[in-house]
Amino acid sequence: MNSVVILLLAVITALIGYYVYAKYVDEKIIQADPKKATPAVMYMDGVDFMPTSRHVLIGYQFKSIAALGPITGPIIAIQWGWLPALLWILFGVFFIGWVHDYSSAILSMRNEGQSFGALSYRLISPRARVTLLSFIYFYLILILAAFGDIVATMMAKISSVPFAILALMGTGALAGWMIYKKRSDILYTTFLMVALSLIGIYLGTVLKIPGSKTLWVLFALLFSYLGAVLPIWSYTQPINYISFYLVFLGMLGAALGILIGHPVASTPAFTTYTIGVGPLWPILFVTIACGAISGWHSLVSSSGTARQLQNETHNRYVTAGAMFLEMVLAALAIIIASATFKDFGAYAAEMKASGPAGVFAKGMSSLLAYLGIPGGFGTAFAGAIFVILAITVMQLVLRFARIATAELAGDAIPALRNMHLGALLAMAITYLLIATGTYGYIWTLFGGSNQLMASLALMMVTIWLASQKRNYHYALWPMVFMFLTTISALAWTAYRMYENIGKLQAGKLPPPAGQTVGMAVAGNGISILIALFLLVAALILVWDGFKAFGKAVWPTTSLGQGKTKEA
Amino acid sequence: MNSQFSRLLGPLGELTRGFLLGNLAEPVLQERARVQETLLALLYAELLGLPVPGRYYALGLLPFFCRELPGWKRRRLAEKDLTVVHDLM
Repeated sequence: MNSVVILLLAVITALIGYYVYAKYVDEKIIQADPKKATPAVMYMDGVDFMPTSRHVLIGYQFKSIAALGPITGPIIAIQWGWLPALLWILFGVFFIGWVHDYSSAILSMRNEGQSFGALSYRLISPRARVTLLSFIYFYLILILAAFGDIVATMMAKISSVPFAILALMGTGALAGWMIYKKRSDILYTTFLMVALSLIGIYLGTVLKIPGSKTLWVLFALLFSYLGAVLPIWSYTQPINYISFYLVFLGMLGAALGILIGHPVASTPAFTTYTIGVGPLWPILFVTIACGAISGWHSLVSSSGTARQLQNETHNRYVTAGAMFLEMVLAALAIIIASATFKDFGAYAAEMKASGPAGVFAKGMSSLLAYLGIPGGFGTAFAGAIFVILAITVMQLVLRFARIATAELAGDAIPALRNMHLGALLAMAITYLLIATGTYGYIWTLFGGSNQLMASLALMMVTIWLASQKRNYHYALWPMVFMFLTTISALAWTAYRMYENIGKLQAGKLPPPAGQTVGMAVAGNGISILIALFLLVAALILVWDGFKAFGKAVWPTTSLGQGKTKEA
Repeated sequence: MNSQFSRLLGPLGELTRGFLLGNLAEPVLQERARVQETLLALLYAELLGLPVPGRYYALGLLPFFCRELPGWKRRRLAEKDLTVVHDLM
């Protein structure tokens, strides 16, 4: 299929979803009321609660939800063929993705801007809040491991990337100093630093820095450590800010390349039902998380956007609009992986050699070539923006993880309240996972924890709608599908890794490159424990959610007679 | 035609601002809130039984800061947990 047709399909689905389905839910079920005072208006404090223009908010929402997730997932999923990946992205966003983001925001808005921690405690049960926090913690650790692995593999394979990353670290930190300390003009600073970063990427093609994967794992963790412990304005945020322009330029270039070159998908529409990491159902549905539905979005929508919307009717534009935009980004990632390689063999070889980052770099450089950008610079540029996207997410995630460690274990072990110890503990677990784990399974587990957060958000929305005597079916069925799929994916992954341990010990399966049999067995064992923990937590949540739903729908039956915990 | 163009340009400019500069404003807003809360604590320390330094000037300033009290109280009493990701970004 022609890549322009894929892009058009995504745009048409987004338009129908936004103007028909989302409009129907917004007007008929939720009945967004322009006269109702939102938390942003009622509790305006200039910090957390602040009425903000919907146009500013959609830009901010999109930036907060669209990082590497909607790009990496589809690139991996091409192994099943581009058609299942595309269908899941289109139908996933149409029926589930925007529903999740939009409803999370309206749930928080109609409950005084409360966070999901408080809402899960009140709507489901006290342990639902603890379960949500544990999902978040595993989500953070697994995303660190998955992205750390991607970054290190990429930097070890493409030696023009490391210098570009070092240059970007320098320009980002310099931008922070100029903006916040020197108070330089922001336009001037931005222009100068973006230009310097581009020069740094060019110099990377000349000054190549070779290194092993272990070296670059340690480098990525050190980079993230600095981001986690230094003031956010001095390091993490300006690097994020400058790198964003490069990413924006790259994606714009890729989109233009598609329109000019309109390459045709060279990989098959469908390959086989079961690939290395597992069968199409349920594994594809957790492999592509952010591009279709992601639990992370519920946290952004509830604790951020819901507290800044100045009018209830703006919610559809901001949250559903940003999700449909992300769907187009995910479709772009499908094109990069499926239409820029000679055939499926070339794609598979690149995946095996340098992972999704390598596929992205090679694919994007092919698209940039339609604009006349030389292949060497194109690959270094695309590789650098992929690594930068991953590494800036790692900085923020490690920052979260150290706070999460302090919150979850700080009472039992007071030393973990120390930010350095908290960050080092998260880094040690991450290193252990990367050194001993298998990338494909780590990504599946990461997707699983993410989708469980999404299922929990949809569960809260369903219970809230039921308690309000509104039509809850538009949230209930996506929630049932997501729970069933994710629980199945986790169970399948745990079983597969258990099988792998047996095969490794019997010598029937060679350990991954750079690992001994003992390390691979340990890595599989750790991953099984994580999968089982998530599985049990999800089942407990299903039980608690069912009871809370029963109280809301059938208040006079035995299910509805139980004691209700109030926050 | 001109007004239609500017009607389109306005939202596009705002979208770009949110897209590109959204996060940069966060540390500034947080810092402003911290400074403001320190000032409020100084001005209203007497409510907590603490002596107010510069009572004469504080008295003059009180009416200007009255409207900040509910927001201050809400922020201080609000339960913060990991799900408030906005604070960490």
